[in-house]
Amino acid sequence: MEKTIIGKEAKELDKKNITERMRLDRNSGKKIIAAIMIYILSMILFYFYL
Amino acid sequence: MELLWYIVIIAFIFEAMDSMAGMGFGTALTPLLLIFDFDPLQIVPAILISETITGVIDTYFDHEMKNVRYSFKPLNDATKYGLIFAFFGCIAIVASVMLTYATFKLNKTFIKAYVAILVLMMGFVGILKLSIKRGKQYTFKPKMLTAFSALAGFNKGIGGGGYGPVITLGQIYSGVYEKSATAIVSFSESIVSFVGILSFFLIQNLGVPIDLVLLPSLFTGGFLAALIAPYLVRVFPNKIWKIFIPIYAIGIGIYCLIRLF
Repeated sequence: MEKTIIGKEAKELDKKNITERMRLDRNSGKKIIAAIMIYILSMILFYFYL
Repeated sequence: MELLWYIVIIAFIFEAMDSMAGMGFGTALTPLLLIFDFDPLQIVPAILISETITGVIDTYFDHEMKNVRYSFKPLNDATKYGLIFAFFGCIAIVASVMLTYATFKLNKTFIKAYVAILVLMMGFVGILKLSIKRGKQYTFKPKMLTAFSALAGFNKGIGGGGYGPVITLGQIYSGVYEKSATAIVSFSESIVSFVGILSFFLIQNLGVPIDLVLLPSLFTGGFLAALIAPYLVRVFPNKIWKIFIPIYAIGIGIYCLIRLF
């Protein structure tokens, strides 16, 4: 039988301590800001079209 | 456009639970909004549009937080099974939207009781297996995974719901890591929701009115949850999700049974 292959990276990350799991890359911060911009743009669209 | 803050809070809570446990947004939120006197044609299309966008955000951040890794070139297993779940889900959602407006009616109480008992049983089996296997991971079984996705699609298609719980618990029984299982559900649900919107627009062209008054509120709550939930899934250890997912499924199963009486 095959071994579990889906979730390998999550499993490896789980072996690290909580402080390391809490730490995010600098790029992740930028991506969160980009997501917030998508939210604001969506709300502007809703404001004009709904 | 108006933001209803109680809807924002409720949407945030249920979307966060849905992203973390892979189930509950449609099953639990729709009846709650019906209690608040909203019409199904105000609720379902708004939920589907919100789920499509928040599902994409959730999927992206689950990948970013390494809860699961997607790859289209080459196609990896997580992406492949996410697409298989979406395929069955898409057939199901088109069937269930059409059935709702067709003259042909199924015995809803019987179907909903069957799905509630199935979800309840799967939750109990999850808890039982947890105590028997003592934290060990299941062996990966691809055929079982496909069978569960067909079963989930069938349940949703006949109008019984329970797509998220069956897919999530089915993945776990088939050997997918719990954190990744909930993430893959968000990926397939965003595709399924998009196809659901298309079905509703088709119905709208046939003269059925759709009201999107709930969309900004559901979207605001859902969006915040889709940003936060992948991070929480990453930070909390998998053993927490191992216990939380079947217990939440049992809760949803009991809630569905109570609603029948």
